[in-house]
Amino acid sequence: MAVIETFGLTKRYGTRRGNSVLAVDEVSIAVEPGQVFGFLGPNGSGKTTTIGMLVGIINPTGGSFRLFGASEPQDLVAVRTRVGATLETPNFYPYMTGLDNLRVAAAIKGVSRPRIDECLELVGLADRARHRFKTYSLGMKQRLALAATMLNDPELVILDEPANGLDPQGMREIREIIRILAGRGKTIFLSSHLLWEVERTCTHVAIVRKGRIVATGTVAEVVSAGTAALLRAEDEDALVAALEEYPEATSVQRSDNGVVVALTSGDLAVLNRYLAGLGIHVSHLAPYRQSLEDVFIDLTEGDFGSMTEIAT
Amino acid sequence: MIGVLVRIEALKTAKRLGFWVTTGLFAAFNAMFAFSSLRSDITRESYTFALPEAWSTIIEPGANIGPFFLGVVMILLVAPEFSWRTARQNVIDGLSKERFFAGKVILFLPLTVVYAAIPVVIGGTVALLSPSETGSPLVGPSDFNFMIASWLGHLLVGSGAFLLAALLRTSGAAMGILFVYLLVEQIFADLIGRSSEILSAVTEFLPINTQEVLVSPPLHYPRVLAEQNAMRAEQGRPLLEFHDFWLLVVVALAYCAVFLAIAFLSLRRRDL
Repeated sequence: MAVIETFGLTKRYGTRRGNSVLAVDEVSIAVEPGQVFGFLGPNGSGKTTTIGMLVGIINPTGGSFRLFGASEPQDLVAVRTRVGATLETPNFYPYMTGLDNLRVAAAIKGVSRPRIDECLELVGLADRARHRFKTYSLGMKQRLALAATMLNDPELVILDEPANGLDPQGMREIREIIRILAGRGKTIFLSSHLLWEVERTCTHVAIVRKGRIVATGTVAEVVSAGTAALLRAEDEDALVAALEEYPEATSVQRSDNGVVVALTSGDLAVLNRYLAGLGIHVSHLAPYRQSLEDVFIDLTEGDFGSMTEIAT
Repeated sequence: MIGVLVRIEALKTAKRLGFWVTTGLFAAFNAMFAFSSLRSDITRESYTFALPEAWSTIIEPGANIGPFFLGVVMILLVAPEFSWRTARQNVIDGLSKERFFAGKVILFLPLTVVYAAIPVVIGGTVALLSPSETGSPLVGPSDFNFMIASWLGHLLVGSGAFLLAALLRTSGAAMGILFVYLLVEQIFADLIGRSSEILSAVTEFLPINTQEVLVSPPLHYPRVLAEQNAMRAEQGRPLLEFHDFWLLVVVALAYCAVFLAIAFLSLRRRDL
């Protein structure tokens, strides 16, 4: 039985014609027990909205989902006790101490006091537990959110951008905690911008763009779904122009080592003949192993256009 | 589950300085009023602030002003749950929206009792210090009705504030609308009441008017009603007439139920 299953899950904000936003568009995914599932997408692509629907704070406008096989509202309330989740920024009572905030979460989750202390120790906040939440740095707030998430020793851990605001040491600790949790057989659903981290941490990924899933599978499957080639030629401008016209090319990018072209077909001999036909003789043509980040950029290209334009 | 909700709300409320400051100010207001009445009695050597006669004097100021202190407290305890997104976190942690709402209602109902009781306890205690030798803390039927009416007034205005907090989700906006409404209801009632007798009759049952009538001493004490009407007759002013007390009770309870129902539906339908 899948831990998370969504069937055409949809969220549309606003109802007036022309004034509504489709935040999540028929998302269908399945997360099996023990997977570390990376949920990737640019800002505003619908990641948090999708997670919000799973944890019950956002009402779907279409589709359905199951958590641990439960889909009815009453059953979902019951199975959510097996879930630990944190969304976007940590949300706690600013006037209360970290400890008191965890006492509130622990009361909801039915967890005893010793477990609160254990979780505070685990995230390195035991010394600051009796300070008010509003005095915490963003990194400490993230740690407290993580402690709250782990209070009930959940079977499913949902983390939405858990590394936000953390320094490199904190990120490393988060990665370590995820690794420990995964080692204990927990299912982890992780939304992150840190693709390098995701590639190292996750077993499966889904890439979401403008509310739609554009790729899903194991990390290896997603990375190898497209073929890429690295090329070098004396006249690089002509090479880029020719590649941009090549029907099998999905993206062309200059890099320090040459030009990387993402292809829908892996036959590089055909590409070579195409270039030679245009009078472009390459000095280097070899398969190029894409990273998850390359695939992500290819699949979500265009979503960053406006930022690039501003920068240039 | 109720025990868990009580524990959570008690923890959140006990740590909230705004709750203690507002409640403390209300208690201080009642204490000041009671002690100044007692002092005035002693100075004049006429002991009117002595029980059981003083119950109406004790309850009236708190019954008038208490609901608005309670309104402020409810807004302080409900609205920030949305602006801080802690309501959202409570639901993520495993509380359903329905249980979150139930927790707030479980908090609200005892607070209405506490606020209605503060003037009774403080004023009653101070009145017991009166040198009058005829005093007895016995609560008569009229006094009891007045206490019930005071509690209903707290329930009515408090639930209105609860609704504003749940709909607007920010303390500033909710308090602003609450106090603007307090100012404009009478103006609105006068304006539309002029157009027809039926509308005029309806405006008598607007929320703040209902609360004000409920806590009018003449409604509960025939002696006070007779005195005030005698004075009005002398001045040629129309005599005071009140709807039946139990009709007002039903209207107040109906408002409370409607306000809480709308707050509940809003919470359930809207995203957190």
